[in-house]
Amino acid sequence: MIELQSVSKTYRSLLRGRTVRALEDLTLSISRGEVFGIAGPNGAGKSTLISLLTGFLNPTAGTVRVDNAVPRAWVERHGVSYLTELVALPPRWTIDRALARLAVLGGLSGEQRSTRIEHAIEQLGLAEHRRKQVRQLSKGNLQRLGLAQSLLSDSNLVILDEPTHGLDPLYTQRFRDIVTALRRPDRTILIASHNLDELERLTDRVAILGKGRLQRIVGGAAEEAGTGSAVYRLVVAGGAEMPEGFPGAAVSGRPGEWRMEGTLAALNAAVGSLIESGVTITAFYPEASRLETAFRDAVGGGA
Amino acid sequence: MTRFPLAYAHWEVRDYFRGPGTILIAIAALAAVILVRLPAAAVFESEDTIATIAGQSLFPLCLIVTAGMVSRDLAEGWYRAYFSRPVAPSFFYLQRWLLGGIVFLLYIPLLAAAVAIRTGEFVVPGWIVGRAALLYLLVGGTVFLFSTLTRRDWVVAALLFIVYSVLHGLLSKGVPLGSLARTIHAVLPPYHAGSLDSQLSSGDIRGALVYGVAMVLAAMAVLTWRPMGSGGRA
Repeated sequence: MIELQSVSKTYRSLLRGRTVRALEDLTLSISRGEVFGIAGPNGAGKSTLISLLTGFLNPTAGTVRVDNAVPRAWVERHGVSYLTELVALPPRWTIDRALARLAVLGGLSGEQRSTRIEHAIEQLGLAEHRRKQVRQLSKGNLQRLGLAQSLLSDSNLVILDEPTHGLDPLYTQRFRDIVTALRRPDRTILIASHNLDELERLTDRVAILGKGRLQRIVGGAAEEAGTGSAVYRLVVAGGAEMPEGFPGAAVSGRPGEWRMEGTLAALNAAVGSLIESGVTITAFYPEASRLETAFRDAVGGGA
Repeated sequence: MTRFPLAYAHWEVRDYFRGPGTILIAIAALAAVILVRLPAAAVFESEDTIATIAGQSLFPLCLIVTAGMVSRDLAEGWYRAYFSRPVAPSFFYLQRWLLGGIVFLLYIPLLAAAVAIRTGEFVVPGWIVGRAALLYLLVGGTVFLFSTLTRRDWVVAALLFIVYSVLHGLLSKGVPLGSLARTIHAVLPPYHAGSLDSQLSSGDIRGALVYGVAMVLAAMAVLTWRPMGSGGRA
């Protein structure tokens, strides 16, 4: 659905004579039905990439296509469900009116419009704030309004830039449910986020950008577990002693908590034998997610 | 949604009446109050009175109605919410500009109503409406075009208007101007066509129409071909 071929974007300041290379030689293909993540440190080019995909910017070099069309033409024809990183709406609009206006612009009419608006308001818990003006909203409520307006349309392209920024844990969880519900074979969902855990849970693949370049593409939740070594933490009930010769294991600082390193297959076998020997396991979790590790490798630990 | 967001027109009208429209109404109301309080012996002719008040107020009101019509959305980032929808920016803003023109022209009947309170005669002079329409086409068209390029759209339009008016005034009085000044006068929009004091030939009107329409089309071309964003987040 989305094709980027050797895309570069350079910002030029005529007055200051400065140039900033936001993206460089980016080639990427995203399929229909895919939930695709974009990760990267600040200034990596995530927002620029999204602006190129929505046609709000043109590339300096290379081509961007959505269904073989120039993005702006595609968006003007079909519309995109788009949440901006900084939700910007006229400050005097109330939530009700903002959603009504944007639904009208989205081509929704009559009953369909009311149904979608009510659903979005209910989904994001905005009912009690619906008469408030945009300028009166807290950061979290503004973000929920941003999400609500992006959910009004039924576009085959959903672009969410930092979707959980400012959301409390309840609505972060609800957002995950929303994305899961949005998945369908003819729809592409793009999520740009600093939250690697969120990307790992929700996406099929994640592109890691660094200094405007594509550093790496990592499989997300749907990818089969890799064969490489990983570090896990195991917590056992009653502070049980670690058996002799337990593979790659060491006792960590807290009682009953073990640190284990090995391939996932080896660790599974070891945990299985532990359970057979009567040890009760209360938790088993990766010390760092695969995406976190990949991110650190790709853009450096200091990023 | 069609590329021309007609269904959104009533929201635009509402915004005009809550924004610049209130100023138009306030000025007409102020005119009514002043006229009513003038001595009873004073005699007014409706058309002249409307022409006098309109002649003083049309230009600034035109700037008030059109200022920031595109540039504000660009500067504030609101365009991202509008144009992630299936809407063409060029038609969206053309509609906004046209509706602004209708609101602007409603000022003349409003003024006529204000004057009628004193004179008892409600007259809407067609020639004043026509001149106001030409003024909107030229000044409003200038603001529309520059609004696609800079936040200071109305300042640019005001400067061009003033420069043209000074040069036109000098030329009308037969003051000899240098070639540069004559070229500038020739290149700038023929703003005198919107003035209530000018005698216009059909050629003047035709020239004003062509220039005004050209500016509106140029604004639409910029909106079609120039990306709206200026940075990743902006």
